[in-house]
Order: sequence, then structure tokens, then C-alpha cells
Amino acid sequence: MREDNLEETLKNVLQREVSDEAFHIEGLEERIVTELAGQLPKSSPLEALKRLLAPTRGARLGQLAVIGATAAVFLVLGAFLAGHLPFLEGNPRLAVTPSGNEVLFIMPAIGAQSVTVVGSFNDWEATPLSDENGDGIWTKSISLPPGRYEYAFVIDGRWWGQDPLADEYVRSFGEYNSVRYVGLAGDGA
Amino acid sequence: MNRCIMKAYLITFAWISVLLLSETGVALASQTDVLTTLREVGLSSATAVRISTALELGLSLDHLGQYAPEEIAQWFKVKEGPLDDKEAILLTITQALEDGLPAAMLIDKVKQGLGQIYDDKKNIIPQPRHPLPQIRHEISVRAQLLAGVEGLLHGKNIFVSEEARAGLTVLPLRRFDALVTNIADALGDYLEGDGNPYDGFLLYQAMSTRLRNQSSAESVIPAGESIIPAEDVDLVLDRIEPGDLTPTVLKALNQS
Repeated sequence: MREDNLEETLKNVLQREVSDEAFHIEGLEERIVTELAGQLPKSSPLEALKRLLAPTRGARLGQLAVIGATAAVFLVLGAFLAGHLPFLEGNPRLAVTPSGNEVLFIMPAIGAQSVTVVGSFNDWEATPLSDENGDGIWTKSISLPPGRYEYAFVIDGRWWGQDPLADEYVRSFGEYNSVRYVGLAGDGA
Repeated sequence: MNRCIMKAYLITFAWISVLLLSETGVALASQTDVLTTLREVGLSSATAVRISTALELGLSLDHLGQYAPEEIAQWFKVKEGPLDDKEAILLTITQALEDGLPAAMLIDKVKQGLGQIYDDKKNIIPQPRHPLPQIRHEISVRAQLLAGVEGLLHGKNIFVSEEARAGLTVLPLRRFDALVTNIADALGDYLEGDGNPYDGFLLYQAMSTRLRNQSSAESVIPAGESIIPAEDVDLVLDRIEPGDLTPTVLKALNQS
């Protein structure tokens, strides 16, 4: 038998078998759901609560529920008294950060041993860039909320403050820093 | 009531009491830590108390930016350098905080100046990245700019909401602080970039560019959360003139 004929024959056989057995799986999901529904005990919310507070195992669950609910109430009250509720206090240290923008930092540094970025977004502490394919292009993507950020790259310990992708440059302690406005149209963020 | 539930209530009360008491304890311990660290820097007790009190005040007014008092004190303990320079830098920040100025910009500048330097084995070296006298000078100029800009805004009848009186334009504290910070920072950057303090138009341009860019960047934040809305930028650019900026900048340079 030729190879293309064999393939055709196998295909036909498989199609026939599938169509012969198809009635077995038609409506299978509905049949299972119906059967299971018939076996499940019907319970009202009141009965569920009774079970929760019932003696034996239920008593422990009820106890846990009371502890949890009371703890939640007192924690909210305590936080309120301490003036620590962010939505009441409006303290930006506690406030929800606006959704971040992924900002890509790129620095070509062929042959460099280490490239980091320092800036106002990381308290001027080094965040390493990576060059996974070894082509000398170091990158790091950082999520930042909208705003103005000053930064510089540090390549093998040397300050490099003039990023070609920056929106502007400033001088600081006699060196250049780059500035990006995240959220600004066309900022590359 | 079920005895188990009563017991549960008692346990919960005990836990809540411990939690609330420990929170107060943490706050007190935190201030004590700042004092201890400042004394370890070499400062006198009186100076340490003044600085730690100002830092706590700054924290409560959100004038420290993203930094905590303990962190700030720790920087000066870890970094090597003359004690009088350290004290002068800390007292400059302290004075600004005591005057109610938004000192976050100064603190960020100090952190940048102190920086981190690593040796060949990637260990942090305790030397500051820039000499302390340089940081001291830079911070001093910027602190004077903050005070000068606040005075300038007051002179243009722009105040914080709490100071509301007839005929004044009042802004919420955060928005007023944001204006003071950004204008002072823009003028500071201009001066540090060897800008001419006598050129009022370039000073004005530096200020307006900064405010407009900052406002545009923040415009993507959902309504109500922006701290420099476009109306505040228009207000400042309408009231402040190029001729106002040179005296402000010169005064800051002379007093620093």
C-alpha cells in the first residue's frame, strides 16, 4: 500500500469511529450536572448558619467566626483611632500608588562588567541592568507612577548622567543627571 | 451566651490590646532610635533632640518625602566625614522643617550627594559620594530657595488653605508644597547648571518649563490626585513675573 493511501485510509477509519460514538458524549455535561444536583441536599442560609454554630465541630467554626469578625472590627477601630487609615488621613506615604508605567532604561556599554541605574525613584541606590545576550545593550524595566524622576547610570563605578532617552538634563554636584517625566506624552514610558 | 464564645471574646480583647499598645510602643521606640543614632553620629544631646523632633514634625506633615527619620539619621552615622559638616547639613534640614517648608527635596539631594560607592568586591565604601562641604553648600542654597519661593508666593497672595483670609488665593497644603518644591528645585537646578541669576527671563523659563512638564506628567493620574493641576500652573505663571525671580535667587545665594 502506498504511503498517501495509508494516510487517507487511517483518516477515514478514525472519522467513522468518532461519528459512531458521538452520541455517548452529546449532552454529557448536562447529564452529569443534573445528576449531581439531584444528589445534593438543599440547604437554606439559616440552616447553614445553624450548622456553623452547632455543637461539636460546628462550635469551633462559630468560635473562629466570632474571633475573626471581632478582630476585624477592633482592628478598624484601632487603626481609626491611631489616625492610620489612608483614605481618611490622605497621607501619601500610605496612599495607594497610582498605576505605574513601565519605564525602560537602556544603556549601551560594550565590555562593561556592571551597569546600574540610580535615581530619585530608588533612593539613589543601585538597581542593576542586565545584558542577557551579551550584546553590550544593558536594559532594565521599572514600573513608576507618573511624575518627574532624576537619574543616572553607573557603568563600572563611573557616573553616566546623559541618557539619550531623557527629557532633560540637570547638573547636580558638578555632574549631569538625566530627567524623565513619566506619564508625559511621548516620554517613552 | 456560649462559654466558648465568651472565651473567644476575651482572647480577642487581649490581642487587640496588645496590638494597640505595641503600635504606640513602636512609635516611641522609633523616636528613641533616631535620638540614639544621632548621638552616635557625635551630636550633642540638645542638637539630637532638636533634629529628631523636627524630623518627627516633618514626617507628620509629609515633608520628608519617601524617607523615614531613622534612615536619615542612619546615613550620617554610616558615612565618614567631619562632624561639623554633618551637623550643618542636618541643621539646615531641621530649620527648613521647623519653618514648615517641604524639605523632601533637600533630603533627596542629601541622599544623592551621600550616594553609594563600591569597592572592587562590591562592598559599600563608607565615604560619601561627594564631599560633605559640597553637599552642605548645595543644601544651604536650596533651603534658602525654598524659603524665598514660599515668601514670593505669599507676596503674590497665594497661601495655604489654613491661612485663608479675604482677598487671598488659597490652595490645599499638598498643592502649595508642590509649587514651592518644584519652583525652588527648578531655580536650584538652573543655578547649579551655571545659569545667570540676573537673567530673569531664563529663570522664569526654567520655572515654567518645570511646572508645565510636571503638571502634564501628572495629568494622567485619575482626577483629583494630581498635586500640580494646570490651574495652579496658570495661577503662578500669571502672578509671578521674570523680574520677581532675580531678587529671590540673589537673596538665597547671599544668605546661604
